[in-house]
Amino acid sequence: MNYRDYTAIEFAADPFFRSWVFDQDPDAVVFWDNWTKEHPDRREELDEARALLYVLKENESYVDAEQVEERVQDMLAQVRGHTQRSQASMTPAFYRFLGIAASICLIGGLGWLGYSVVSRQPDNPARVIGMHDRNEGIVVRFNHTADPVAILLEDSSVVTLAPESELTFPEKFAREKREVHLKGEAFFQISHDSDRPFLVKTKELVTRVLGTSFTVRSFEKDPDASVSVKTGRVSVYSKREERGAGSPGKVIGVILKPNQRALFDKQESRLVKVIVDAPMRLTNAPAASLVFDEAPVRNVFQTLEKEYGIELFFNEERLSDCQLTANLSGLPMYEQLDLICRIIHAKYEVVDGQVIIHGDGCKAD
Amino acid sequence: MTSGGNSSQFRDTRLWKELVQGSDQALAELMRLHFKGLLNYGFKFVKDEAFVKDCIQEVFIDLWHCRERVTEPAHVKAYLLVSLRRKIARNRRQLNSNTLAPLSDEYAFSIEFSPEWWMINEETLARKAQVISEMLDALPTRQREVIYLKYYQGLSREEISTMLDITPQTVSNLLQMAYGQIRKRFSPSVINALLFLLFY
Repeated sequence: MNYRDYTAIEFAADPFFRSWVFDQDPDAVVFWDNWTKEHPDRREELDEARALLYVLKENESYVDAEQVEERVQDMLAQVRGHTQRSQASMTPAFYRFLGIAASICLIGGLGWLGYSVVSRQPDNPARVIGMHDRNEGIVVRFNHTADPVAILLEDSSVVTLAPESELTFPEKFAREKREVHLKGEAFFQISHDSDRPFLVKTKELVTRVLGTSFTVRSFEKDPDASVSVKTGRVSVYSKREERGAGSPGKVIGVILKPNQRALFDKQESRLVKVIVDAPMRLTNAPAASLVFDEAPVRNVFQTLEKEYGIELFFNEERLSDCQLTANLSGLPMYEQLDLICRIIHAKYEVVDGQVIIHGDGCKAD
Repeated sequence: MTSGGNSSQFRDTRLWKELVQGSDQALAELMRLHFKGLLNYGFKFVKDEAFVKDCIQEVFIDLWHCRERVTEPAHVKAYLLVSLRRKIARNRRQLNSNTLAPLSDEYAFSIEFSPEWWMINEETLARKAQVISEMLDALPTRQREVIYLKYYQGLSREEISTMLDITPQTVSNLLQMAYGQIRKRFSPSVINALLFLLFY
């Protein structure tokens, strides 16, 4: 079978390709990951095919065999007469009613806790870190100290809470998702759990991840709120876009990669993607790999892309004659870009979390 | 889940016969095989996973209890999909009668394509998926459903026709109309992809 000549439509119809996208079949994953790397020129076709399949697949990836089995066993228990649920006469609708009642209690409790923290704050300087309330199952912690404080969550995720910031979280997370609320700033290191997304909600933004590390900042006094990513991928959307009850509105947020940052302008209610102020190196490559001797500039840019995980766009044809001899090690990313651009007589700009290089080439040299 | 064709239909029919004779293992196997497809279908109507899962469970419990009275369907999968759809409509009415405004009949709710964009890591891919889903969502309800059943659930023209209670010719017509709508709105490459999918 020669996949080289396949078009998007043929990929989408190919059973082996579908088992990759739909079922994450291990053999298919290995094969297609390799194939993608080996055939960068087929990328467009592959992406088109995957996009189409993703649309149809929708949320299905949440369900693993274990969850299905749980439901099957529950169903079997019910038809065999000895129900696992406490009383056979209760209808699912009734259960759902119970669920709603329980969550109302939870929200009520949360409100009360929030109130009690606020009201107690001024006259209790001895209490460094905010209160717990084990009875309600909801914990509110306020950092009154001048230093960041680490909080360990039930799923072994760690949240480093900045001074003057408050985190509200359940003692035990729900089965379907992990949700916390933040006022102020915190750095999150989230343990991976592909079945339970982790959500950080602030006044304006919702940040959603499976397992990764990132910082959320949302102080009442600031003109903007932001999310910056250190590792993994994170999606951020503004709260008004969050899929709410009633209209199933489309959520169009931004997807952030490491060293990218989502900035929410409160005044304009606009979400934009930028690069963090001081991008971190993502590779463990030795600094020597950043010493270039008459290297084609294309290679230099590709090295930087790997270093910071940030996409660099440039006109390959026009810059094909450009060569670079420079030592970029030990410099921050923006200085590296300044240096390169000075040598090849180009300019760069940062748009939508990506770097774009404008240059006319180096033919004259 | 996407496997259509004779072998899976044959397997479904065999399981059906066994469950009618009293094998709850066959019932369990049928549920295992179709759970994902049903969940995906239910989620198209109600964006509440726990609710849909409860409904699926009930469909199989109901099937067990009336196994001696139900006639063997020509297409088991189509039968299960229809059952789920009815179950969702009914439970939703019950659920909402106390809390929200009453909902109209089962055909008032429709399929919507709204993938979880954040699940798609690559952004270019997310954008593509968005375009495609907008295109599908722009279609009239019936056309959208036919496309979904035909392509995602892998049902045949005949199965769709029994499921939606329309003639096979109407199924073909709906597919043709969907194609016409799409051609008016979108770029050739996307259309080719979809066209192919519709008729493959």
